[in-house]
Amino acid sequence: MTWENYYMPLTTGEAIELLVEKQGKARIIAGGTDLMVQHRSDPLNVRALIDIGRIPGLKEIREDSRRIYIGASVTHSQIVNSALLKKKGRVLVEAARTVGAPQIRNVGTVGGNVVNAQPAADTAIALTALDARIHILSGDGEFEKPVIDTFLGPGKSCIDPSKELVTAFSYSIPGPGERSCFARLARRESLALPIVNLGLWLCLEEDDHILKDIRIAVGPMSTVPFRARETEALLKGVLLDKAVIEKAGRSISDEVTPRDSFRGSADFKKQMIGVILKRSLESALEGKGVDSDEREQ
Amino acid sequence: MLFIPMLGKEKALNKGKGEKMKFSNLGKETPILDGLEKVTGRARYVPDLKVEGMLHGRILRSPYPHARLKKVDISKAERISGVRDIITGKKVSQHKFGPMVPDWVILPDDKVRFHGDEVAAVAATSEESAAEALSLIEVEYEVLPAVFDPELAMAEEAPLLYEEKENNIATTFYVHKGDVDKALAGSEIVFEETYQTNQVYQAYMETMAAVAAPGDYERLTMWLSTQIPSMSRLRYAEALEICAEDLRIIKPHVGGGFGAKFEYKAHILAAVLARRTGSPVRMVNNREEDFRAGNPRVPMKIWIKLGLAKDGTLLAKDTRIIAGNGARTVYAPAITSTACYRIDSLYKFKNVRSTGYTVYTNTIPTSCFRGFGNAQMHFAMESALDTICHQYNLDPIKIRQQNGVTPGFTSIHGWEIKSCALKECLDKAVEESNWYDKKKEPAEKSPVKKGIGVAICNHVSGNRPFFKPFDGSSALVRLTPEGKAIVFTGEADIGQGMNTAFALIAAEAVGLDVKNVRTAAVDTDISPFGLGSFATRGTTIGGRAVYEAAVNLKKQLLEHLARVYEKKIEQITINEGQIYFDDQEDPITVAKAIQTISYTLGGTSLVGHGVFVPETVLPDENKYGNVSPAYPFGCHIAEVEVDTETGRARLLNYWAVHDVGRVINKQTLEGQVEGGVMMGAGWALGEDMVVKEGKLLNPNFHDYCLPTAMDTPRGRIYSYFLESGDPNGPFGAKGIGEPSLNPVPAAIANAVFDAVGVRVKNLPITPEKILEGLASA
Ligand SMILES: Cc1cc2nc3c(=O)[nH]c(=O)nc-3n(C[C@H](O)[C@H](O)[C@H](O)COP(=O)(O)OP(=O)(O)OC[C@H]3O[C@@H](n4cnc5c(N)ncnc54)[C@H](O)[C@@H]3O)c2cc1C
Repeated sequence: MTWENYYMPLTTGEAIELLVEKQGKARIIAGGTDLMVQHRSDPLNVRALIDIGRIPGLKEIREDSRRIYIGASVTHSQIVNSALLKKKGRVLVEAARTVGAPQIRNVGTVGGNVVNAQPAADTAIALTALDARIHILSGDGEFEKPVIDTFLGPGKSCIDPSKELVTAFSYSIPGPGERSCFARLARRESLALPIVNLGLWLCLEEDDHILKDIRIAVGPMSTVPFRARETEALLKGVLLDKAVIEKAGRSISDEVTPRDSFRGSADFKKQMIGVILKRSLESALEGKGVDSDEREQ
Repeated sequence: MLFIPMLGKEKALNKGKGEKMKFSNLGKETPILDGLEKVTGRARYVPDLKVEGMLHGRILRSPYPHARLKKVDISKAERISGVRDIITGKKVSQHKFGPMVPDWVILPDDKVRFHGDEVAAVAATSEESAAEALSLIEVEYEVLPAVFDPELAMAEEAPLLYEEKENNIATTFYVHKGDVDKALAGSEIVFEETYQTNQVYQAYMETMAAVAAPGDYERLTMWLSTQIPSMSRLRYAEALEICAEDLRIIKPHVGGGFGAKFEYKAHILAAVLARRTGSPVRMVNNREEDFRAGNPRVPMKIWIKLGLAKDGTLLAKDTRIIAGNGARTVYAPAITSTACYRIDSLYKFKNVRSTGYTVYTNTIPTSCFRGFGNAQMHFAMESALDTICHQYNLDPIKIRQQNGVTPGFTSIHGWEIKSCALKECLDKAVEESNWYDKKKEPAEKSPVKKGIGVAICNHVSGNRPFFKPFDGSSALVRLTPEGKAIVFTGEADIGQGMNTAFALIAAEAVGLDVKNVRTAAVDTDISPFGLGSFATRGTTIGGRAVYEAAVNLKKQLLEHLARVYEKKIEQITINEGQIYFDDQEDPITVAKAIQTISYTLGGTSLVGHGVFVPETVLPDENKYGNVSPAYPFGCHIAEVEVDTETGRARLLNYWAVHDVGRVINKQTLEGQVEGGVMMGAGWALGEDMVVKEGKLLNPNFHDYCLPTAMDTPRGRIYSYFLESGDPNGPFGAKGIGEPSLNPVPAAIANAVFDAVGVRVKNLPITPEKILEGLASA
């Protein structure tokens, strides 16, 4: 172990004070499911770890009149079991449910998943589909920005966990006609990183299948979680029928530029992302596995 | 179902012919006796051992698949504090040894032959010092051309791993019975195909481990995670150039082996370091090195040609196998020969020919893995039969009924099938799975299609040629003055539940309550010689020796009871720990009686001694001769669903019916079957050691995708046991360990074909291969 101290602050203020005091020689740790694995192969060069697991505010899921807030150290299990999110954040619930296995979900956090910045991090994909914003605290104060803007490259985030603390994520409460869902393919049913994954959010005109708006986030299709904007554009304002869905599948396969990797060849991933987009759109139409404000589930 | 009368001594112990036998201890669901200590974490495995003054051993492994060792400089490493010894090829004897072929040295001083090969070993006072020392050993390698594919390795221009081994062929196996060419020429159906099975990892929970400690009288004690305590003792004595008696091997709890835990380099290195330093040395693989230098499954390319009559009668089988030995020989040659000819005793063949080459490559040495080559050949044979049935409109159930061996049959290789419920296994699987109804179901409209597939299997329960000097076992059962019985065996329970089976057999044979019987851990200073866990022999051969020992104990006990209580032996019955005298109302307990007896004999325990030497023979030069006392059989039916858009195949339901001779413990049988099915399913549907230029790319559990609990069938694994009562097994029991896996990949491949019409001939059956098949259909 390289660090001398392990702090467990009780407030975000204390956490920031520690970060400032250690001048870049301290590091935030949440569940440690990424950090400790990395430390094994590439030892951390820090003097202190700051464990944010005791800060009550960071573990909350709540809503105000406009937005839903998810604390940075909310675990994947908390998301899976949240009644509020089951109703108003389906894509996130479904994404969190696929992370690792129960042991990983019980300790791994949404904040860690986003800051770790893997191109197919499951909840990062879901938050990207929700167009979520990230709330950050540093010695210089508080600021926020779109989650998608934090991803710089594989494993590279613009958030510096030796200076900044993510406090929460937020997104607009889904309105009428809004639905979302998540899909992924992996080599096995549990404890497997995705071959491809996809977060879908869409808003339908009332009483018909015309798409008012849509967001499609996919991974690992680029160096960062990727918004399939061309395919989104193709779908915006059109009536979602079988033919359109088929077309959307082909469009996204053409749009993405995955790499050959251990989990699958680029061609295979291109083909598969088309399949899961098609299936997600179909289930969105049927209202299956999809949330919307007015539907109870 | 079947209750075939017992022969020999069993008859005396059990009720007469044809009658359903009543057992006090057998046939029930008995939790393994060491289950509680395992689930509570109290069970101690080799890596848990802490011996006073213990050093930590680590191995420096080659980063190249083939390289000359020009210089190994340990001067910097030696200076690390805590480092007690570093050995290299230059510092140790270069004599050759090995389980089958003498191509092992303790450490090489000339060249390394696979990525992961042992270059040097360090013993230090802490793991950290040992690791630091490893990083400071400077090795100058001259990289040599390497070859990875066994078939390419046989080519003239291929680089040689061992100068004296032409074409890199380690061994060749050849057998020919009847006249295959003539039979093929006369066959109305001739089918030919090539199948490939890949390299997979046993993935036991406990990695390879040893603690070696110098002891009194200049002896060395080794705690090993092994499935062959007595055999490894002989081999390690040879490696260390000492007398076997100076080695004491103790096998505590073992966290699985599945064939991998035979002779192992790291064990020997621990011993060498312990002897040099005079201190105990612990050597435990981390998971990555266990992947990189364990003993994974022998990959095979199998060409098969079958000749049949129009009605489906099998007339001829011709096979040629190229098997990957890896960079040195563990047991691959025996595995190749098994693949060549064991399945010939599943069907009533009259003409068979097989050639098997075991070929060196610059890859991980390969060895035993549940199924021992027979599993590889089952994939080829059972897939081929399925395709033939499809092409010629034959019934895949009937063709197996029609050709399968039957009780009393002697196979073309002289294997004597005494007990056999193969036909009944097929019937039961067909009935339970609703085979014929499912076959008639129309194809699904959705992109997800269902399919069902069948495969049958045979195996051995003991294998005479495995250890040239003998096959057999002996055991002691000791009844202590406290009334507890302890079974001493040299056979190695590595998690299968054999120790519990032995206790049940002893309890049943003597008339004890199994709660008062346990099986001692193997310690070569105390336990009898036992060949160990392989060839599905433990319960059958080891169990029969335990049975004989228990019978012998019972005889002694009866004699002493008669003496002390002044009765005639015929007046005494012992059952479930109670002793009944036929002229007395109330029984007395065995505990009380044995104490009384013991105190008349200077406090002795009664010790029953049992020996079982099956009437098997070493096959002659034509490979003729009965190799096993008993042959288990089974039939598996897999039901899958295949997603035609994603290519993914998933298990829906699985029916596994096995002829186990006799159910000793239903719970562990089910455990073996469920484990075997899932292990086979993992192999069939995705497990793969991905090697590029000799380097294993997925040496961890994240990238090497074993099935998880979530990958078990959506429905269930149904297991059924038929009791054909083998005359040689204890109470008729035959083995289950390997047969539970043998038919799995073929049953699944056949089900996938049934679902989507895609025949995957090279394992694993990945989504990519299914999609490719669908696209080219
Ligand atoms: C076996 C296994 C399976 C896994 N499977 C999956 C999977 O299927 N899908 C998936 O997406 N991921 C998976 N992961 C990765 C991991 O579990 C997730 O990314 C998890 O959400 C990380 O959260 P954590 O709290 O453990 O992060 P940590 O490891 O504690 O931290 C990760 C990074 O984020 C920083 N950090 C954490 N919290 C904050 C904060 N509030 N502010 C600033 N910086 C912060 C840390 O400094 C570190 O750089 C798996 C991991 C393992 C070990």
